[in-house]
Amino acid sequence: MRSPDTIAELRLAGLSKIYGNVTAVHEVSLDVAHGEFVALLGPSGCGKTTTLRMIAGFVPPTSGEVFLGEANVTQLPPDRRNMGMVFQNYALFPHMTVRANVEFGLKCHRLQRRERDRRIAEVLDLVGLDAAADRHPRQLSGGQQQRVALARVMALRPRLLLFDEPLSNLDAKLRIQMRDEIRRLQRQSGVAAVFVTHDQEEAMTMADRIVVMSKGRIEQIGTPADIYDRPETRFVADFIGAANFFEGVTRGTGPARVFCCRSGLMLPLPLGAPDATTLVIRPERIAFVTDNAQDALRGTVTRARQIVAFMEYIVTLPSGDLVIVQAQRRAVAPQMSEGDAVAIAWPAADSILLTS
Amino acid sequence: MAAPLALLAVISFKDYQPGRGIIDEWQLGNYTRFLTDRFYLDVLWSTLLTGAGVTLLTLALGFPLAYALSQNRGWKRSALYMGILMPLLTSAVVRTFGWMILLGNNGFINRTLLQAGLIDHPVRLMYNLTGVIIALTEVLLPFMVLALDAALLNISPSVIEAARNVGGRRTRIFFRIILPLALPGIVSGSVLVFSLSISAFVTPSLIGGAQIKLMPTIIYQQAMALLDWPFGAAIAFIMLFAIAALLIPALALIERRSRLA
Amino acid sequence: MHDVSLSMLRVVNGVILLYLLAPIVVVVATAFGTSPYPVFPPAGLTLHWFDRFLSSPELIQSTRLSAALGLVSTLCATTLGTLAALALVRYRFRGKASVSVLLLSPILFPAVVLGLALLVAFTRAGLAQTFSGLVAAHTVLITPFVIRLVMASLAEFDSSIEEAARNLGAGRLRTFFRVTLPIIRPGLLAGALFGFIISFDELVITLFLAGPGLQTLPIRIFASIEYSSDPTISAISTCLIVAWLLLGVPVYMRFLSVHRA
Repeated sequence: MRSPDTIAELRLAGLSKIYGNVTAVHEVSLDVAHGEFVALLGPSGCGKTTTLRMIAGFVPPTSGEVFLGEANVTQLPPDRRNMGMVFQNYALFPHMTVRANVEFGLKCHRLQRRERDRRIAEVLDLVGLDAAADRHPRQLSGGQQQRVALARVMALRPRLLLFDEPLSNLDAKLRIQMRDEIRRLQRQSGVAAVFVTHDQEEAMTMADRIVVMSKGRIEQIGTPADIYDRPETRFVADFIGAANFFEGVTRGTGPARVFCCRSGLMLPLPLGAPDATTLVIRPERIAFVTDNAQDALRGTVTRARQIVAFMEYIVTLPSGDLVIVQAQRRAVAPQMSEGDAVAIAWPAADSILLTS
Repeated sequence: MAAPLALLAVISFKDYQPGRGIIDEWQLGNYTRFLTDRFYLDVLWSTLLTGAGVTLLTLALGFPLAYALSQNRGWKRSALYMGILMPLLTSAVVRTFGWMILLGNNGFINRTLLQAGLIDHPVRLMYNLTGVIIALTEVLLPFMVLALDAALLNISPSVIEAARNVGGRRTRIFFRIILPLALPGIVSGSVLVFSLSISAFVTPSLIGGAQIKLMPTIIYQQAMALLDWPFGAAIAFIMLFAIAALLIPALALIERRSRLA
Repeated sequence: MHDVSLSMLRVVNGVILLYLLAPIVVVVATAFGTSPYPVFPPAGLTLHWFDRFLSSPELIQSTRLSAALGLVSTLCATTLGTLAALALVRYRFRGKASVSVLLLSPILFPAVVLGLALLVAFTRAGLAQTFSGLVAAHTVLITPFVIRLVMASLAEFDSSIEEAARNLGAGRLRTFFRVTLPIIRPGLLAGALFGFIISFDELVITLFLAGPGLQTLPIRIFASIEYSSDPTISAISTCLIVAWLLLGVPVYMRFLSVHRA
């Protein structure tokens, strides 16, 4: 007997969508807990939007089921699922005022006049748009339209919030502002949310857990730290942040265990490391060291670039490998420049080992 | 809609005998009758001639209007647009009636020309092809203007500016750049006006009277007065064939050009 | 552009526009003339012909018939056309291209041929010379216009707005009536209005399909022009011109402005 705490707010069981001979989504299974904020992250075409639309009921799944709490909602039409969706271009009703936009859903759910008015006032105050209640969408800025879209769904107090890349049409500064705003409102209301985005920064800063998708499949589900520090597949390691990849094999046993790269380079491994075919190390974990430091690799700086707040170097090793190194800009003294002979090293424990 | 047309096609192959109705036998008599009789061939020729004449005239008159329309924006364009569209809101009957008043021997045009001393006796403008062509051109002019305008709007002004920039003079620009680029509009407008003028019924019957026999009037006569539906049907299809013979190559031309663009 | 050629163009266009609007001006002017046959320019000023129009029982009956026919046909065409436009824009189905061509074709099709075809088909079905037959024919004629104009409104319509409505709890019907319909209203009204005007003014096909007691106003006008030239005709025509202008221009301007916005 499951206690109410362990029943997920949203459960996807083996959701698939096949169009002809194209598989858009393959066997997606996921649990979203009550109040949790989950991001579906991936490049365009990875199936994240199709998955969201299957949850909302706009796309019938080829197989698999959707559960809201204990109820199987797979066969329910989109107007009976008790989920609020915020669309990429807000989808406000152009012929209605802000107030009427928010009131629409309340009328559909047959709330009484007094209750409707109360909720409209409450939710417009929440998003800070009470002054604009009588304006039409075309008179509002992008950010304001975004907030009306939010208010519209929140007035209904749904069990689940769905977001379809709602921030991609906003400029950078506004995007960051709205990120915080959406997250704050979601936390405040305690409603579970599924947020689709292709922007890793968005996913990393907003989500409790991230679902990384590629080509219709789930690559990994985990917290932002999990995804970044412990990627489970090459795709995830490559998609999130930057990474250096070394192909090779693990050789030897005990403390003499090393990673033999195809290029001939030997890299140190942490104790108890499993067998692996790929070694990944993030650029910011690599440091410039003195020539005789432990595990130091000697090489030459072949490119030096300033990326806003930090420096990005490419160091070429005698084995032919190119290593991307990210370092803070030095407070004093000149930075490294092209042609410098350097030595780099990183803590063996920071190496990520993959078998794909 | 396809069904009645198919039915018509079938009937065109049947024979009609007055008093006996339509005989249920397939035969090409109707078609051969039309195509071998001198009288009917004249009708065909007059019809095609009228169509060609009207098309050329609408092209000549329509281009300046369309050019002005495409060059203007804002209220000027809207006003001009309304002016060109307004005749379309008026039925062909009404406009043709107006032409009858203007074209008669005692009509406005003749009286003015006589008073001005430009002619000695009234020019025959009614009940002949000339009058029909004058009236029909006016009736169909808006269609040509709209088709040309659509094509002219597509010509990006920077293309013209680039031509001026490399030293092109206005006439050269017109003939070498504007005209060729407006070709799709010219073709679609011409096809439209040609088919409309060939199949015009109202204007030719009112202005042409009993003397002028064009295909649409003959079809009507055969079907309604003489009750020879099959013959009327055959003539109708010959007319359709004439239109299609023009339409298909024209459309292919547009298709090819748009693929090149 | 060079000043001289610009003013030359203006003059030329002025003349062409005059030519374009001449018959309309003539008809309206002769409606007020005092002479017993239409003369331009009119001799005196009188409202006599309008009076004759409004006190003629046959003419009033024809006007009523045309209006009723127009209303019913427009209703059918608007319903069918809107549904068809929605289907064409929203759904993908096999043979979509050919279906859309089929649905939009009656616009350019020669009226005489269509009239004859419908006559043949309707006689078989017992619909010739009946009101329902006329309604059916007019609906077929008008629907393409409605489809075109509604599709234009739909082109700028974002389907996610409908999805948002569904998500907020609205069923299909409510979504259609509260969200979709208000947004496509401009295109729909424009289509309905033009449909009505086209049906009211329709002559050729109606000539084939009408019967005694089913004489629409255009048919009466046509018949009376053939027999006599009476300024009453000018009066009727003037009423029609004014009516269509008053109705057509505002609706079209609203449609255009929504379109461009």
